[in-house]
Amino acid sequence: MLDPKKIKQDFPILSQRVNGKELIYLDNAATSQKPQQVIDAISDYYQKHNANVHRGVHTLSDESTQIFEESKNIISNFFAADAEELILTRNATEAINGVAYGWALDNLSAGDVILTSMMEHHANIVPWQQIAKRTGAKIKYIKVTKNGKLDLGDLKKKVKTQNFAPQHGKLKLLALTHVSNTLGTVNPLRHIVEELKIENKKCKILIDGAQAVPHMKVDFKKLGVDFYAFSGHKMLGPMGVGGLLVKKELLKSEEFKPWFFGGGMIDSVRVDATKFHEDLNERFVAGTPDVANAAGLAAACKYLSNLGMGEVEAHDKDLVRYTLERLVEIKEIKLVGPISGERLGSVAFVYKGMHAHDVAQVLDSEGIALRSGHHCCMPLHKFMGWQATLRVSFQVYNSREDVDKLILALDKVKKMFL
Amino acid sequence: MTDNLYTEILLDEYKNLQNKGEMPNADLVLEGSNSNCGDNITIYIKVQSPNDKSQIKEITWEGEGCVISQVAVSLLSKKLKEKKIKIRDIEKFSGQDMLELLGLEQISPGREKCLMLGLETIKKANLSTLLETSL
Repeated sequence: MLDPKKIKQDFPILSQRVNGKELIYLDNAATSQKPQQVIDAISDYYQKHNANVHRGVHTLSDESTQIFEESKNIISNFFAADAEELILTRNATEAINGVAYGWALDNLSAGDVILTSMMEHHANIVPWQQIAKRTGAKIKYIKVTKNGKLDLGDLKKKVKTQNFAPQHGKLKLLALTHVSNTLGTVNPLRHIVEELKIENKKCKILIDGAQAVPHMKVDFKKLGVDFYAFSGHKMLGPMGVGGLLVKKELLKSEEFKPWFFGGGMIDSVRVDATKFHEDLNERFVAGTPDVANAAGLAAACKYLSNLGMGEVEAHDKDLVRYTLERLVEIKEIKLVGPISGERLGSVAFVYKGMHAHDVAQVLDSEGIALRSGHHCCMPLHKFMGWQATLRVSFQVYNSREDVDKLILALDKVKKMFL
Repeated sequence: MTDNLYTEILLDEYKNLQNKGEMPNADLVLEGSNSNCGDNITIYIKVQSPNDKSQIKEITWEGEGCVISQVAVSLLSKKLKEKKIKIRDIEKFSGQDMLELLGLEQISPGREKCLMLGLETIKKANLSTLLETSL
């Protein structure tokens, strides 16, 4: 088992007091805190190695290039992907937009279907609405069951080939979250991928892994999906770096194309035409890359690997289970998402008779940071009939004691308002 | 900060919200929302008389929201009903005026929208002009 108290010492920000109280940070699904190792990797880079990559012959440029390439290797290894399958982006949102502009825009046409779900983050809805507008494709949403799981019956119905007669276009893309940021639900990807491939081998699969990668081992090859998007800042890495994993076949066949253009990604440029970089990966790096943040994210991957992702997952599951058990005791609280079954990362709830913002504000006065609102899931909140929810979410430095402090603080809320 | 925010006066107001409810025969219905938290509000207005559209005879409101947004709308509705108040003057209200109305010295940036929801709904609808042109 992990030792969260010991781990916490690696995170300088967590030693501070907020409103005179010890900081209990439970907003990790929004962004995680960073260990000293990540902070050091970034500051080391700027203090000792900063220079632009690839284009120089001087020592610092070489060092910088080496750090960048090594970092990409460490990050792709973390996902059991080949180095060339990793395209660094600013975050998961930019990665999903990459699939929209680097693949969907050229491969979807009027009547084609993009299948997504009611539990998606806006990042996996809004880009598809734009692509639908431009290509004439339609979006269909897989329903969510009352207890917050993906409705697999509805999914099956929606991928059945007979529902996509030629005049109605074809199912071309499934864009689905791995773990819901509001419900905590872990979607059974293996089952979903198998079912889909039986019905429709050509349909591409994009997984939004933003809430999965901080808490579980993600093996890109084993998953068998075409695209996998993630954010670095939710997995102890810096803000401003994330990635898109792309199946090598799609890079080789050039079905997936660069969507940013400029320097770095080219082989030769003439006034009338440009040849993109021969390297399947380099052609996706337009402009100066964020080397320092890549080094920071690599340090985060190392940090998590040292803890062991199996241990990280077990720790998170224990906290989720414990939180559910404790919150169930409070009669004013209505839990959101599945009570049983696979869930990870977070527990959201509604405090009956109290607005989420008021509860969050009182908890802040107790040093407890959690999130209130719709968590960028407005369609889900509307579908489930919630105005706003409260969400606690975990990382490796959280402990059962943090949950106990939350429960105590919730008592203060009751005394204040009810 | 929080303990200063939820003052006794504010919590008392919250437990006794004024002018809350639907108005079936309203002259005007204004709707506002705060996309950050899903708060929404509907304001119903009846004017003094066809000859005096600068004053409000009746105002009610309904909606869901946090303590701050609910109390702010409640107090704003009371203010709007005051005899000497012209709607144009209320439309000139700033965040500072709203803070004074609630008896607060300050509010965190994250709660500013809660404070301003009712006032912004009236400002956005351009209430004074609306009254003069549409009724």
